Amino acid sequence: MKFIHIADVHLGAVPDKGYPWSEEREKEIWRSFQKVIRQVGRAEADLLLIAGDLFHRQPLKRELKEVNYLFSTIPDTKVILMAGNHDYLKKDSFYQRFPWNPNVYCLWGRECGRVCLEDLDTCIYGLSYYSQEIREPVYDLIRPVRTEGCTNILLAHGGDEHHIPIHRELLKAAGFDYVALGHIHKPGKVLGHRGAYAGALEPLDRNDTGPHGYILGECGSSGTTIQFVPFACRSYIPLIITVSEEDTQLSVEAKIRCEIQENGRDNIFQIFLEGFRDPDLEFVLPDLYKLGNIVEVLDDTQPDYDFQAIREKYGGSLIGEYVAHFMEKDRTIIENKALYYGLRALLGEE
Amino acid sequence: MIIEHLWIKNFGKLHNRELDFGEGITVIFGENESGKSTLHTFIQGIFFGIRRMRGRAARNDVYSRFEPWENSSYYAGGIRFSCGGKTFRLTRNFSKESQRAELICEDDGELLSVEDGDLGILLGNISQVVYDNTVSVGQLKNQTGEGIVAELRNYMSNYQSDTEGQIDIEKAVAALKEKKREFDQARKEELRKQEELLNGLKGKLLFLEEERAELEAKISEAETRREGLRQGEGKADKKDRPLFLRAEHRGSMAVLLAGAVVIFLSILLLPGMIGEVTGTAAGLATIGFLFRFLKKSSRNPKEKHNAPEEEGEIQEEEKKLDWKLEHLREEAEEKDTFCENLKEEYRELLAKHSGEMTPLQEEIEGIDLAIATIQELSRTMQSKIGNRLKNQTSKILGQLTGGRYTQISISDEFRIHLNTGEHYTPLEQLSRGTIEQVYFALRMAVSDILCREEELPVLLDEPFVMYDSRRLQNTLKWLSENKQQVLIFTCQEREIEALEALGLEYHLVRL
Repeated sequence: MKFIHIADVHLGAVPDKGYPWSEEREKEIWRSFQKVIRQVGRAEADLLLIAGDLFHRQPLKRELKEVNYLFSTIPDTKVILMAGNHDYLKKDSFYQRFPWNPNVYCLWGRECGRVCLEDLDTCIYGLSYYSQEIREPVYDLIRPVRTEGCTNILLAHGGDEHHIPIHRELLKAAGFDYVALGHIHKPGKVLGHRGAYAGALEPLDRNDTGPHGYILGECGSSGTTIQFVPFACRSYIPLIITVSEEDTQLSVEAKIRCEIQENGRDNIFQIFLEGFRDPDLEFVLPDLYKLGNIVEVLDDTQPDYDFQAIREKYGGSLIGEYVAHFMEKDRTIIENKALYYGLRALLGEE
Repeated sequence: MIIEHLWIKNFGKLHNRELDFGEGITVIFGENESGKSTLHTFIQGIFFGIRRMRGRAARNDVYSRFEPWENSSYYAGGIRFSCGGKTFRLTRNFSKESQRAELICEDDGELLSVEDGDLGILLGNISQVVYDNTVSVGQLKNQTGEGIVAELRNYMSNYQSDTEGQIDIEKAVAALKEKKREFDQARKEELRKQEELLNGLKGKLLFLEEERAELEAKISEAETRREGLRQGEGKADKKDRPLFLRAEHRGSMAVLLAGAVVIFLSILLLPGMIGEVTGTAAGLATIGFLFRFLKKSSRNPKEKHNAPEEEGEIQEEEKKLDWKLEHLREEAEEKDTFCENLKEEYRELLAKHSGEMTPLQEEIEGIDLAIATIQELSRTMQSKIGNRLKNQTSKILGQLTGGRYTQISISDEFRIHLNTGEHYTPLEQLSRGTIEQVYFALRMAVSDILCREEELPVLLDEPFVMYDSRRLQNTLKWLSENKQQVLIFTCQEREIEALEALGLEYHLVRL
């Protein structure tokens, strides 16, 4: 029995609102979903597991029509749906009233229910969100009813404090052949081959770094094997640019340009400036944003002061006291900035 | 601490010199350019090292100024001093290739570690800056009385002035505020953009709600009509309305009008043959329609319930209305969901804007914290030593002036007033000599307060130029009575003459 597991597609999301690539990304999420459906057809998967948050917010009926149309193009694949914390089943949700294709099975229950597919000898367990949060660890106690000669799959969404906390040992002990997880956007195996987060199909914001795609898996007599298939059309890439005392605005711009070229211009970058810069240099951040799809530039560089030496030299004076005041603690970002700005002003460096 | 002996291998213009000092007053006499300042800097350098500065500043820093022109690898020297009953030897190589300091206790031969702070302990844990501003007294830079008063005030505001220039707290705070203004501007722009995003959403929402209201009106209209049909009140409804407004008659009405126009036109076009034929045909058609229309409208109200075909029509209309209602309701629901989604987005955006700190806000907070910390620290330092400083300065000043001035007051703005017996006089109204005495007393007081752990030699670089001989004698007498070791750098014979006149013991070093 072959399956494809996706999660957190977030149709309708508009990533990075206000940035030039934002609207294109909104469309790309739909396109990617469309493509993954085509992929399901090509792979002749028996099951398409969608582990919640197919939509970013409450789905509109016309959107469901589109989705249902796409499902109709893979009539030989059985699609299993659930509602996650984003597209939770509000009162009168279109999800429940929608006339789905015969190949679409929905786990709309508030309590754990199951869909049994006799021709596949497979049961899929799961439930849906009826609110944005569920704090009870409701997956902990779910056990498959029949284990002999039947493949049991749990379709689950959550795994943090506010969204159904999951205890791995309990989940493992439940004895599912596969747990298809959603909610955490970073893909990753949780129970080896027997349970994984598919991750968001397309990354949605700067925190969704790393590869994104779907999980292709197979359940057989010898157990379950899965593999992650990278599929997203763009990535968020954190670029750490280490600055030295010799660097200037233009040299840093050149470094960033080079990194962007190497990593692919279509990707979206978050830039971290680190290291020690010439105390006389202050970066013009707005200029850095123009170098590509840059969602954020964080300047954590520190002026190349030898604080210990300054503290010794100026000990007992205001400058010495000032440096000592900040040196004696683990500085927050703001305290770091204060140390730098204050010292600069006290030393009379414009 | 007593400096006993020092030797200079190579330091600025001094080469292979050895000098002996003793307890009490030592006068280091030399013409201009004989190396007094060099010696002064050497003593500071031997204790605190000479750090190279970075970049541009390096061109004219202390290191470069005193780096010997020849044999720079012998940029070095040493000093022997006694401290706490023991004698120590400190040697230092200043050259950048082999910077090294060695501290040995001569009594037991123990090698001490400069890096680990053993020298710092011997110096009473004071920093170079404190040293520069207390025991090592340079000439006043300002020549005017007013300038000196300002210098004094600034000196007091941070109890220091070092070779790289004084700290001016007010200037520093002003610079920070200026910097903050720049960020405030950018932050304003950022807020404007956030507002724009929110307003965009708000606008969309308003538009949607308007559309929703229109839909609602359409729905209720359709519902009323549907209700009317069901209750058989359709007749009354229709009778009240002008004929041509009834939807089912609109088509016929249009044909009627068109016919009338054609007739009118054909009359105008007469007597053209073709026109006549067309006119007649159109006229006939119109009459036909008119007849049918009149017949239909005349029988419509009365015969409605009786005719089976009319029943069918009503059912047809009911179906249409039902279909329309369903469609409208669906659209309304769709709009409701969309509205809800937008509201959710709005709330999320609002929460994000108020929750997350942007990099700009971090800069602004950083500057705010810097300003607050500088002000707070300067206040604490001031209050910590302010009172003691006043008392100590008053005491020393009293001794120096033979009891003429025994009370000074220092305001929060570091304005100094002297008690002249009858009243407090602002410092700037006193003579330059008196101002210099206050300055001297203040530095001695600061050194008493800041260098309590170990009494260090007092180094005085031409401090008495403006003193008359009586003041000079009082000061020298005070120094010999109160300080273990005093090094006076001078290019005049005045100090020697005064010491001779007082009959005080002193050492003389000629450079």
